[in-house]
Amino acid sequence: MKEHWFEFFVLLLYISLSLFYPGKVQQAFWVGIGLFFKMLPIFASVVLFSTFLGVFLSPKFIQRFVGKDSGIKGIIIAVILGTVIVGPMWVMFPMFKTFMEKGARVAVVVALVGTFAVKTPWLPYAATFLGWEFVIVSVVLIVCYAVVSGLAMERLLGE
Amino acid sequence: MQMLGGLIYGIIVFCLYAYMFKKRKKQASSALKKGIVQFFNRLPMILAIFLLIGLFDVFVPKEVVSSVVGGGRGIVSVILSVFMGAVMMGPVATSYPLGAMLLCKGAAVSAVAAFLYSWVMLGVTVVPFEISVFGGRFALVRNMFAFIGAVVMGLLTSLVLTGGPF
Repeated sequence: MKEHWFEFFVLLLYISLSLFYPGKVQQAFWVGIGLFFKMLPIFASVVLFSTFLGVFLSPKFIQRFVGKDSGIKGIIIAVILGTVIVGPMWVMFPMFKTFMEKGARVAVVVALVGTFAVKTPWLPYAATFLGWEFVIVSVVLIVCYAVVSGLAMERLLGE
Repeated sequence: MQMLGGLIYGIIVFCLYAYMFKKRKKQASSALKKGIVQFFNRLPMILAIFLLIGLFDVFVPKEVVSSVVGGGRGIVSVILSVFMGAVMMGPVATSYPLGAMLLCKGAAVSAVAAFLYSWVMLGVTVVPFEISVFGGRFALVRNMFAFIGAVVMGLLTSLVLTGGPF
């Protein structure tokens, strides 16, 4: 019950709104169902791609690339890895912390965290809604900002 | 076009699995199993998300959206969107269709881009956890950078796509 609170919330919303606006609610329902079926194949690909990356990109594997003396190469690799990691951000925090404890550069970890907003497996999904133009522009901007803020934060936090 | 994108994506994922099934069968099959389980686990939630977006589409009038986060309000709409994104929780799957819907209803491109970035990078409810893991100083600086980033991202995205910052 607790893990499905969101679904129940939407269900309740539908029931209570349909008491007052049955016509509009029916219209909303068909809009939602239409979107759902349109997205289903892409959603399946996203999930399968995510679990694929989850299995083959273990923290141990990433660890190899983010060492202290990894220089600019480390940052580039962090950017690439950051874009393919998926899952909610707070789940990643302990993993990033471990990297830092094991000697990863602050800039590398920040670049990892920063490019996390790209979420490569979700891009085709995002593009069906927002268009590729929007998606590509944001990806480029996110990556640039991740590198810049990584280097700036490293300066700011010292070490 | 959209169907084509989905198809290509599906083929890429299929090829990745096919390749890994040859090389490391055990890991690949565990990834596939996890994927199928997750797909069905998440299905009700995805359905609920789209039904909610249907409601949003039908019930929230265009005037409301454009008066809150429309281009006419300049930087206010961008900063407001950053805060909205920071408060919002939930999977990114929700954020993209919601962003597209906001655009359709007259929200500024800058506001939507800022909202999407902030959705992922800022989380009001996660801050205590972040502090407990990284310490206050790191958490403060990172969140500050993410906040500035969301605003900058919004303005630049709009500048590239529409020729103006809002």
